[in-house]
Amino acid sequence: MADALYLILTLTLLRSTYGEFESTNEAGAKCTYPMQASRLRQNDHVMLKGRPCKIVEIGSVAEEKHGHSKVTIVGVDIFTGQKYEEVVPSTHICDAPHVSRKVYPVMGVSDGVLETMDDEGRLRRDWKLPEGDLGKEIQTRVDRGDVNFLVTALSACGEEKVVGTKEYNYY
Amino acid sequence: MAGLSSAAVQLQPTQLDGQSVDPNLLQKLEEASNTILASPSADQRHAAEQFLLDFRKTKTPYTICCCLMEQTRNDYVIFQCACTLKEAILREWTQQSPQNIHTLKDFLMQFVLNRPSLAVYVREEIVLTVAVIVKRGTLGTSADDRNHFISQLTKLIHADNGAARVVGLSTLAALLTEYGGNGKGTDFGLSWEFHLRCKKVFEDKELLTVFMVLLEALQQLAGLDSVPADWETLALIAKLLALAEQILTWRFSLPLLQKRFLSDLSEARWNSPFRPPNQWRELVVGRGLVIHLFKLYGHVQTHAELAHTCLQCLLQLVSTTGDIFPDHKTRADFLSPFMAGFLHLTQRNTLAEYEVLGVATLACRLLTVFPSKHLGQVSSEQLQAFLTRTCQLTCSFSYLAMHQKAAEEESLYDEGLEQLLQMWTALWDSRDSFPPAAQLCQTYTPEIFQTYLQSHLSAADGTAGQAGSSDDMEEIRSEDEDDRERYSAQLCCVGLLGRMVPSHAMSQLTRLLCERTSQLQLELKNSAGSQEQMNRLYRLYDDLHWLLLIAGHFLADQSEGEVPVIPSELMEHSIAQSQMGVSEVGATQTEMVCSLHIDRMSQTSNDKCDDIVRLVSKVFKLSELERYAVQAQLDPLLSPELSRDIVWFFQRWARPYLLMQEKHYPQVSLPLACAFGQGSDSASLAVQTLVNKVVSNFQVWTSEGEVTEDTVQLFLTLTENRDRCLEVVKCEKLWFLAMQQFSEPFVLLAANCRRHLMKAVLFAASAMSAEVRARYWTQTMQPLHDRFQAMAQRRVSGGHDGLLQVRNLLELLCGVAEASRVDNTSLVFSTIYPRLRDSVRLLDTFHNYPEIVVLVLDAFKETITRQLCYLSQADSLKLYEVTIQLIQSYARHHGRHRFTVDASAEEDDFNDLMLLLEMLTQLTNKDFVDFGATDDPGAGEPAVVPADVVFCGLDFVVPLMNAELLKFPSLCLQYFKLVSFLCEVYPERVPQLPQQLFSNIMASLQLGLSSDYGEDVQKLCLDTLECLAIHCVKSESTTGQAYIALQHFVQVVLDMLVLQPLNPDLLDVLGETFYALICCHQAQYTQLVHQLVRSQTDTSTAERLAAAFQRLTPPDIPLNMEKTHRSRFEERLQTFVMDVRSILTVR
Repeated sequence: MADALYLILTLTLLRSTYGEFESTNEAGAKCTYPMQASRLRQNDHVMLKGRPCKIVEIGSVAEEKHGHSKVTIVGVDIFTGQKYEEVVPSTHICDAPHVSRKVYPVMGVSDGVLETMDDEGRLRRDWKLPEGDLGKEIQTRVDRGDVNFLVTALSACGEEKVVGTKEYNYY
Repeated sequence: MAGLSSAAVQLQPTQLDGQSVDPNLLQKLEEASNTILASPSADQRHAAEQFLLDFRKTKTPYTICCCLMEQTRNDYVIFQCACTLKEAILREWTQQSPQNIHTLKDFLMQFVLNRPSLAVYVREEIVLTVAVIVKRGTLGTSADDRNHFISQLTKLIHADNGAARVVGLSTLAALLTEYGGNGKGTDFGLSWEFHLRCKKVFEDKELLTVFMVLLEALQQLAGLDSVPADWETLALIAKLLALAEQILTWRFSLPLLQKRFLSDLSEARWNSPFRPPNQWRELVVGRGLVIHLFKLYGHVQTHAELAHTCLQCLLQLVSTTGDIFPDHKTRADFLSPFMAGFLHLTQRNTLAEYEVLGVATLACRLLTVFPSKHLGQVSSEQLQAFLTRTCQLTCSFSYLAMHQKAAEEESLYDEGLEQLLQMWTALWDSRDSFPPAAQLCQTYTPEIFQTYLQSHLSAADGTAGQAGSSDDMEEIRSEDEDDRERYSAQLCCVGLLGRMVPSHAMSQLTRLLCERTSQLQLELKNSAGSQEQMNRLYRLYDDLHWLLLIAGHFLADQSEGEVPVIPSELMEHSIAQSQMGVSEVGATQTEMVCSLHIDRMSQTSNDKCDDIVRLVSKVFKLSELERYAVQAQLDPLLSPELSRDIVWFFQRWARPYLLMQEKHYPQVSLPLACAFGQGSDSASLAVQTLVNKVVSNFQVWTSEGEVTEDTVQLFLTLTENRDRCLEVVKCEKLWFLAMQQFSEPFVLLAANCRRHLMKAVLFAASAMSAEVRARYWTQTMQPLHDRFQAMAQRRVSGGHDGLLQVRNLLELLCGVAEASRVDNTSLVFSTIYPRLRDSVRLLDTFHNYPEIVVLVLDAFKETITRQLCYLSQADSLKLYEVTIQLIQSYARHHGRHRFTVDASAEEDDFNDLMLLLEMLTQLTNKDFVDFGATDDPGAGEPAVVPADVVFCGLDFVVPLMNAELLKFPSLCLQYFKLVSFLCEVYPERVPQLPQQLFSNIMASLQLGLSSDYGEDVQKLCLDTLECLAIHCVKSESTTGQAYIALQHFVQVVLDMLVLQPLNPDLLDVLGETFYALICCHQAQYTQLVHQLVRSQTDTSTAERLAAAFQRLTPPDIPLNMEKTHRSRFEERLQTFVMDVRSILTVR
């Protein structure tokens, strides 16, 4: 009981520190917004081939020196890492996904599942432990008995993925 | 050398005693060699290499190696033997008798002569060994020996036997490389002094002989009617030319150029001019060296590589300078055969592509290296012939440069053209010292200008389209580089060329512009949008594109930091026109006004209009035509590129011409002043037209970022200047631009463009009356203010478009910050300060979004950079407080461990850190420059000073700056800039820093000095150390952490001065720092000197070293910070470094 109370308290504290603009993707809310291609910049997010992507390369070219310019976009799927490329007229209205970054307190790791707290202070067990160095880092820390950190997760279009770790700050 | 036999191999029979030679050595060597040459497995290769390496270390290998060389037929074994001999003789030089060495040298020479079929690399290694032996003996043997050797080589070179000649030349080349001392020679393991003395001896005695030998050989070759094209002759010529190049790039030891001397041992980065001593005069200037080289060029011009080397020799020779020319006459005499040779060389109809750049550079150098005031000494017929030829070349390159484009990206013709254009502008610039230059230029430039124009225009008037089918037109425009940047050097020169003949240039440009505009009007009227029509349009657009670029460069220069002025040639032309009655004020004004009204556009041009005004009015017509086409919704047919060109042209033109300042000119043309000057109706109308154009472009080209950026730049040009701004504020459209920033089309503009627009809009306020300004300001800022408030209120809730909106708001806020100027400081500050406070909150909320963090930091940085020095004390205090809040918030969210740098990280990823560093550096400026009023003189010390903020930031930043982050050049530079600023401004506070922080800073200085971060960083680190040391000396502190930390750096700086490779540019700052350091730590210095002296094994070296230190810091001169002592020390230091380095540097 005391534990639960502690969890809720921690969470309240966290949410005031790490408050996000939007926490849930409410039903019916569009998960994208329109954006003219010419306004996109590197590191922005855009839907390419129906997938939410982060733009890693963007440039404008014209097939004709005096023609109207087109935008070439190279993006990486923020969840799968798959690379996509598209060329659109610069006046084209693209779909840009709402992407949010959130932090979750780590609770532990079991059977390849990362356990965190969710927004309501309940245990959340639907994360796959990330692959690669990040997964190893989390696993190592947890093995050491250190759960005193947060994970950052990206969410867009109903998907969610852990992309990094973050320290608590006790300022 | 004849008479030697393998008997000479019996060098030191006694030495073989006690040393067992493996009877199968030869066989093993051959096996190892074969293994290496026959792509072996890793293990085999390793074993073979190890065997050969061991062999190389054989002690006294002379007899063995000579025997092996005689016995084997395996080139690689011979090569290994030669290497072994070279290394051994250097190692064991002192133990060998002169006789033995002599015999060895003779044996090697004989060997290489007897085996003409040796592989080239083996031959080169053997003659290199010979050269090393000769050089090593330079200081020990008499000059006779070397003379004898060189004369033997001379005989070889003059021999009938081709192979022998090649050996002779190879040996000479090896000697030059070894003696040249430019870092390319063999490692002797001897002091630098040795190399310098050898070089001097060789240079004084033998170099001239070698040069004479070369001259004779050249003469002989050049004298032939034709040169046989067999490979042997070609190899011989290649050798000769390479040798000539070596001599012509020789850096003669000059006592006066000590600093250059210091860098001599490092790799020569560029060729310095050929500066032979005056004893060489007769050989270089007389004796037809130039003629021979040109003749030889005639023989080799069909061989790309030989031709290239030969041209390099000529280019180096033309740079000849120094005492060798006693008077201008000699110089002119030297130049004359060059011009003749050049004329002969370029006689042919076409030059091969590989010749283009060299020939053009030669022409350019002929006129730029030669002092223009002596050009009169050159016969005028020759000069004219030369210029006629270069004019032809310029024209042909200009044509070929355009035509080559389809085939290749990088065109040599473009580079050649650039050189030639530079030659013409150099000639024009010399007209003060050589008056006929003006006339000469005016004779030739019309043709060049005309050809350049034609090369860029399509069929009817030009040649550009003829190159290929229309497919060529479909080149892909990429964003990397547009024509404006790519051809900027060319265009600048062509613009200058045009100004030499303004009347011609303007009539051409005006006529063509006028024609093309009419054609465009016609095409747009009958727009069908067919592919055929599009092709026609594209050709038209390209013509207009080039015409505008050329006209823009012709009319005005790009000026940064200087007051933009109308080029004097054009002003003079306009004055002359009006004085002669060719142009009239009334007609000029009418023409200008007509071009600004579409309904009056069709009026025919007035003959009495000023040339410049007529040209500009044509561009206005074109611009208005485009604007009407936009209104008629013909924009799918229009060219964004042309749109850019038009606003670019106006921007360039407007800066000097529009509402021109008459006080900048000794005399002003009346028609020009009436058309563009202050108080003229047409100028005011022109401003309105331009503002309308800006609005029109924003409406139609939102998706073309480059067009809108150029457009906003034009708008900035209009508003940042007060006179033009007074006209801008009369335009209704200004209020539209200012008030509508949150509606379409402005919200669709790129972020940068919106930022600049905000800045321009706020600049405009400065020209308004106080009352209007207040209203304008409020109305402009209100929407931003409201949105910020709304954002701040709904903090935690809100939507994703919130993110986008925050980005836009911050971008605009940065624009507001950028609009800060001395005349609006308090207004901008009162507007921006509450928003900065909001931004800190936004940073808190959006700390997870790097793009927002960067924008917030940017807004702060811009405010501090542009405002702080003008702010009153009270306002400054507010700014400090909010900045501290910002730093704290940033630090809270970004922890101390965020900056792990992964391999794919780019400098851009650390923009936030970069901005933070810049911001902190800018804060320190307040203590340098402060124009802000003190509100209350009696208030005493303010509660917060900039230093408090900076040190607060430092506390956070320094621990983050690890070695990995410092690898990013600009981040690194900025960090060290901050540290050095701090130590310069607050030397008393830095030593008081917490111990951990302080030692972090000192460690980073050590890193900065020892790593390869570049000269600038090293300078900053040294400056920092100097400031700290001076402070220690002045405050007589002998305990604090700064004092203790500095002790270590005495050694570091001393090592940099005498042991490590020296960058001569750092010598001054090294000296200053070193002096401050040894003043601070005298005992440590004395100890280091003892240590260094004691570590020398050789007593004479030790004594000389001690004496050098004695001279540097004589015991009777006190080490203190007095100015006279400091400056005298720096003088002594130069000599000291020279002395000590020549003893200690080993190579």
